[in-house]
Amino acid sequence: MFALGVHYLNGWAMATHPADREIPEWPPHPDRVFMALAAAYFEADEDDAERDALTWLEGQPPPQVIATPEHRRQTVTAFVPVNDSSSPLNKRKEPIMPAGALLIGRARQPRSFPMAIPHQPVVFMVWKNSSPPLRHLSALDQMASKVASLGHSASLVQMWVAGESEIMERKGFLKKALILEPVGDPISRFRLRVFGPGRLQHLRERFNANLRPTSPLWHGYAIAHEEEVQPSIPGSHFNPDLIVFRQSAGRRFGLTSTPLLAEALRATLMSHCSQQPPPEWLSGHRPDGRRSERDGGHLAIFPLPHIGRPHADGHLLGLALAIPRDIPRKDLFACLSGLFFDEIGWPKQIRLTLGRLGECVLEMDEGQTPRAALRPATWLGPARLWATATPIALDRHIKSRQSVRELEEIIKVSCRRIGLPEPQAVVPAPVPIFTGALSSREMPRIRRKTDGGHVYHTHAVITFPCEVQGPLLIGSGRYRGYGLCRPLLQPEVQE
Amino acid sequence: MSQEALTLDELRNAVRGTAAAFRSVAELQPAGGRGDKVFPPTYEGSKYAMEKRRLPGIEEPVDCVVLDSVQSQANRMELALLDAWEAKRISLPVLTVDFGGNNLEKVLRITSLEMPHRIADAILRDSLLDGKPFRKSSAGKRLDNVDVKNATALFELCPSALLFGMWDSTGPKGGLGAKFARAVVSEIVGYHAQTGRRTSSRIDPLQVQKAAGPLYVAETKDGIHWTLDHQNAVKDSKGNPKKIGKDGAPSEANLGNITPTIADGGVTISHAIQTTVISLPALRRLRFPLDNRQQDPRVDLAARTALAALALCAAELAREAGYDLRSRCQLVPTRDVKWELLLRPDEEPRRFRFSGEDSLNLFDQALKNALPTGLPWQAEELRLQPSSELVELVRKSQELAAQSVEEV
Repeated sequence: MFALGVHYLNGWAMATHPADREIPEWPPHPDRVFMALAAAYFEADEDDAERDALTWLEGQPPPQVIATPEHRRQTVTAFVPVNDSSSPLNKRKEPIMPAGALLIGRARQPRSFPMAIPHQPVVFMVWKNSSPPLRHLSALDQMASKVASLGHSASLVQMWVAGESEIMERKGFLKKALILEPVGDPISRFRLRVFGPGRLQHLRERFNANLRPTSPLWHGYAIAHEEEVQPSIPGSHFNPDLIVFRQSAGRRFGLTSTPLLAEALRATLMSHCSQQPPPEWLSGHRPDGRRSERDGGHLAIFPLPHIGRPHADGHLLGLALAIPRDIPRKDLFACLSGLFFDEIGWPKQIRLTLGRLGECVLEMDEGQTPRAALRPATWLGPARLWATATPIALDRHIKSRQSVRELEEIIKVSCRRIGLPEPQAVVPAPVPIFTGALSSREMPRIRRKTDGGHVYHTHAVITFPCEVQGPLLIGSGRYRGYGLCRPLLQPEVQE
Repeated sequence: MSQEALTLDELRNAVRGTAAAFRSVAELQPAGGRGDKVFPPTYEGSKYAMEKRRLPGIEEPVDCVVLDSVQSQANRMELALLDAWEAKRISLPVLTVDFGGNNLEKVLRITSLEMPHRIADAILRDSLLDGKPFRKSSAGKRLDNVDVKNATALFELCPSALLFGMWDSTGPKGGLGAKFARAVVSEIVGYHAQTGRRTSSRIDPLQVQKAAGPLYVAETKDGIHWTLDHQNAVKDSKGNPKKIGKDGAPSEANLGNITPTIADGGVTISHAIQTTVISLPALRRLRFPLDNRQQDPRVDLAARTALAALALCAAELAREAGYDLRSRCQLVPTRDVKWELLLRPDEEPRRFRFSGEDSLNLFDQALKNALPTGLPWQAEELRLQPSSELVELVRKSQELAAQSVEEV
């Protein structure tokens, strides 16, 4: 076992996430740590032993990362004085007020400094199955002791080679920490930049050419033993490991566009699937073309709307995929990695063209965004009390729209159908519960294929006898974004 | 282990070895007493920099607010060094640009410790030393080739740049100019922050009523820029008398009452914490070759030790100057502040306590130890003159600023 420890001396980490400059990177990505060690090597005498140690290190597989969750400082804009001009006049030749210690005015540029405040300011990167030769261990320890900062220069750190017993003795830390394990596929809740063979040489070449390093490889990570931590919480037949796409370009869409977007994304997935015809769990159809009746269901696509906040307007921040629990994620990766990622693992843009309605450009979200709608935890709970974000399209024809009891029963059956425990209570409602959501009437109606009639929609508040885990997608439109539920009372979302 | 004083030998050993940092953590309270409101810095959109933090023994995270940022704390430390230098308590290289003798409305003298970009600042670039543009002068040219492996000229001319960071972005190498990361980071954060309310109003002792207007813009005569006489007022393009502001209300001329308003403002906190860290690896990466000779570890150690002592000085002198951060935000320490020397993670930190005076003495010793190695030190103030172009810009700026005040 080999490990590196990092202690953030001011109690916080100031480093910008590579995918979004408005949010901090936490935990630190392994490649950032490697670059810090390489910088220590280059800035010193380029010791041969240190070079050899780094070459050994870059040949190791991605490490386990152990870090506590973080909170984030509210990102504010500071105005920092420029240095290209000493003039106390602005572009309009007006005087700039002096500020701070400087007695004459100076133009200022906006800058922000995203910051993560971990619950405990220590991180370990662990290579469980690697044991460096002693000469490399000594050189790595020497380089680690030279690392002054990680990320922004204000993010002062102490870095060292850590021992296994030292890590295990930090019981308080380990109790609160998340242990992120590298997993086989990149479609994971966490994706971190990692290094590989040749990284040191690449950094040297880029530096000598006065260029910034290019992006390294990205690798999927998952929380180790997550299911073991919460084995007894029942959930639906959808895997809680959602695949989240945020909209990165294109016009703004509302919830009324849900069916069109879901269909467009589905068509894209189907056409890019490396297995043709696509498997039943992806297409929702059997090989003979008939509708799938898999017990575990099939892939669902649902919207991620901005709802539930004081000024929420329901516009979509992205879309998410929920795959059946019984389908290994590696199967999804095998089918669709070419659509989602480029050759170095960087997320590719997925363009959905909706004719006159415009375009929606999606990118896989790295799991670091602060936007509530894009965070899986917003849709997963666990919770006892849930409410619909999009109306439930009933599984069967309703005899009387005034019959609350009948609506209750249909919805209860729908919950059981996706593997949930029978709800304790269901309160149907024609109006949405969350600010910004559409009423049942406003949501586009689903037509029955049998007779062309409209499927009845309703919102609902559902109480379960115990906590259940999402995603909750209920009713006949559940694979296309209808019947999407959210915990009614949002706990503080773990950041 | 608790220890009272930090000796030069101990400091040198810390710098030479593998210790990570000197760190001090100071607990502060509002000068008005526990529970008094303080006003944090506001950012764009009138926002405070809020965050949540976990405290040992408390299950839920607590709301916190930044009371003084990293950049602001660095500025305060530099100003504390400047005050000590002006009081002749410390020997420091200081470059001064003196605007005197140019018939400016306001005479200015700006030092390298006040310039945003330190010795790489545009003001110095646009000033003359011994009749030459600064970067073409003998001193300025020595900065052209500085980097972490060749920091001697910065030690000589601006050691604070090696502590608080510098980017020579407008020197001969432009954007590829030398970058020096900071070695000192300090910040003050308030805990259990609860936003309060603040009121604004003005009671006019003259009780000028709105209906007494409207006021019109007058030609500038004896300093009064308004008139009640619309016939003698300045006319607009249509020949109509021009009113002050939007509708000529006396308040546009700062007369009359202002209706009281209530808005969000200020916070109450349970306490504030100032954390100051001096990174020793950041100093250890610096090299100080002399006169194109090979690197000498003895010289490097002497320079780094002096810089560490200067950093301690800056922090202690800033503390000595007090925590009057801004209007309605004065803090006081609740107990004596100790410094910790952070060793390896499995070792207990060593603790020291010293005053501003102790730190000055330590720096003095470190400097006296460093200079015999051959390290240069610009003890005499370097006085520069602003270029004529810069003088004109400042003159114009002052004139315009004065006019805009008069036009209220």
